[in-house]
Amino acid sequence: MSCPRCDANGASVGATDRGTATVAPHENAPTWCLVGTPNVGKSSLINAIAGSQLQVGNWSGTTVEVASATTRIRGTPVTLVDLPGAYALAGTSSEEDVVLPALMAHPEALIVNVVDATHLARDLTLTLELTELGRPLVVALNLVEQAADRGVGLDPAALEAALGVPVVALPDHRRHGAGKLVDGSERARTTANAIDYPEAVADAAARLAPHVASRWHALATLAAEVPDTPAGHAVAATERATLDAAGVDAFLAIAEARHRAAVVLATGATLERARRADPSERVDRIVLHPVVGPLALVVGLALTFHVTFAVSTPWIDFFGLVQEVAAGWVAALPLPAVVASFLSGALIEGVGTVVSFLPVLFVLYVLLGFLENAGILARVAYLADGLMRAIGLPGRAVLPMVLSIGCTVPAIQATRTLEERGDRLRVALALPSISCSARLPVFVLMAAAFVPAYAAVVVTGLYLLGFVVAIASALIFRRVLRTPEGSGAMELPSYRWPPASLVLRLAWARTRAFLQSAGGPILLVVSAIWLLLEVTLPSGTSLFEAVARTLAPLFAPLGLGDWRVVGALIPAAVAKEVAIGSMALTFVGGGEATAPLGFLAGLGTLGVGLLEAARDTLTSLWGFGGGGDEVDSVLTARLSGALTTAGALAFMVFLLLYVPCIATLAALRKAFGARWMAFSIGYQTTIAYLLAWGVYALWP
Amino acid sequence: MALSVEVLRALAAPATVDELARRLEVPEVHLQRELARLERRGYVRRLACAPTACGWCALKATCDATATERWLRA
Repeated sequence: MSCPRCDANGASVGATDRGTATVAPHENAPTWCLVGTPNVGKSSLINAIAGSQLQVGNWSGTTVEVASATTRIRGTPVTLVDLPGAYALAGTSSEEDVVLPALMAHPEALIVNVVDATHLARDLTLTLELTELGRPLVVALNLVEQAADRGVGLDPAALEAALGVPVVALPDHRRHGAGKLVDGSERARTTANAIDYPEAVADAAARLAPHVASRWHALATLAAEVPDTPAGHAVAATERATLDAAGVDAFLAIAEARHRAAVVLATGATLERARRADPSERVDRIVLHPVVGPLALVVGLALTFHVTFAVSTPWIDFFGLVQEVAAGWVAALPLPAVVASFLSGALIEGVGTVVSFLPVLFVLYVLLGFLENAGILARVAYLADGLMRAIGLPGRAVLPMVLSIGCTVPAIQATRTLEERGDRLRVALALPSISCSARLPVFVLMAAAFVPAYAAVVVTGLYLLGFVVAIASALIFRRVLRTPEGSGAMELPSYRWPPASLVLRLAWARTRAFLQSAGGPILLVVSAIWLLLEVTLPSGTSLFEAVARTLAPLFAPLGLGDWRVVGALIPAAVAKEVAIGSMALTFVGGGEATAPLGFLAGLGTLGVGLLEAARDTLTSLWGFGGGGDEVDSVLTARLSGALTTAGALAFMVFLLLYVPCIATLAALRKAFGARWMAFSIGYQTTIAYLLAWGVYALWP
Repeated sequence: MALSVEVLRALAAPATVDELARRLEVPEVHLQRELARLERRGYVRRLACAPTACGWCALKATCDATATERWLRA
């Protein structure tokens, strides 16, 4: 067999394309094939040994094809073959697919397995695969100093004894490190390292091995990772059928066995050292303190919302101004009445109102992106984890609850991590109480209209209320379902300052996704409501108004007697944020006609508004409570006239807690069946009604 | 195969490729390939949140880290 990339001609190709070898390729030179995971430093090692200039970089995939360099080692020419990084011999990509054929093309070659000391168990799995090829092997431990930085010391001798092949620790890529590798290569040998495969798999592999190139090939054939060879096809098919009949998943069984063996090897070769002082731990002593921590959590949450409001409120104002100007322009156009009504009543006032809250979402996503990537959100989860354990909830329930702040659907899916079905069910039933980000624009609108000075406090309070109700619900369901307490463990990443570009990119992607995904459904719902408003009954009222007025008495005890407010709750059952568009239509779209506005006059108004928004953004950061200025858009002004402050708070509480959105119900039904979905609708609506009534009744 | 085991364990709970990449310290491009392989074998599935399961939810693409697709062990 010959390898087209690294035989005598191939070597020159490699040298031309990727670097310069120090010595011309030698026809009879012994060959070393360097194999390892991506970005482990194979090319750098070759450059250190051969003095060549193969392309290297601190990212994976630097080597996308086989390259080689030839050098003299202690007077003997040696060809060094640089193979693309791979996590396993059975590749998952075209460049990884090169590795195994290249190794098989050089049956005489020494395999130098470059191992990442910072991910020892993972890389030793590849090592174990290589031992099963039955070829001479030497292991080169790389990135040893980085492992030491993480508090992990390595014992190459122990690993060598356990593995049965030479193990060389490379302190760095300089020549003295490479010299160690040269010494190790002289002791290279094969090993029959025994991995504890399930008996059925081991027996099948033993029967298949004589028909294929190696034990590795037998196992890979059983796992259907490589095609059957003509000689081994019949035996392989029989053995796979036998394993299938026995209920053995060969792929998983082999993967798990290798991983277990690698973990044992890595554990045996690891020396725990005194970890170098980690600034994260010092900060965590304060942040994760049982008393200070929860306080910091609440303050941090409030601060996050304060900054969100402070920065975004002037821009909400500006977008409100854009709506007014656009409506004025439409009024000035010679359009048919129906078209003008749709443009100003549905398109501009409905969708425009939703779009105007993009600044809030963008700022919030910037802050959340920062918290997430800085490692702070993980601390939030950790703090909540301790809190929930204290009140008898499974620790792992933290994950779905934190996810629920974004969207309840993946949160319900995440309950799968809980071991007990009862735990899964009660946590899933509690999740809809936690405010997802769809409810935020509505809270912003209402809080800015009714409690502008305390908008951030109110929204923070709503989020906390959601958590309190969720936890209380889970506790109640625990008694009903009689589930035992679960368990769980959490990892805390080190703190780090995330790049601004990353945070901004994430925030923009999420905000843009909101715009793209929200636009269609909201336009549809708003258009439908506009249509229902246009359909007039013989009594003179619109169809939508008639339905809303019918329901309104039910909500009068909550202070929600206005049919337009009650009407907003109907489409909001589909998606909570639609409430804004609905209210924009009923409060503004149906109001008095907008005065026509000239194009230049409108531009002038927008220019002034833009400057004011920029100025207010800077000044409002110093005040507390959504910038301190009332949002004076048309909608918020009219809402103020339709509801009392107590009624507005009751509305927000009801919206927070009542029937989950359709997507959440679908997720509940899929996970637990229609009965529990129906229960959730009834339970959430009852809780929402009672708490909203309580807020309205008790508000001074 | 080491990556297969680690990915399968990590996907006991839904996760995006980005989250997995950070947790496992593996480049996203390799994770994508590994996930594709595991998906072909039926070990993992895409959590159909973004296009279907969220249905009408306008925030389906913006909910916490669902701007990108989530994966789950099948």
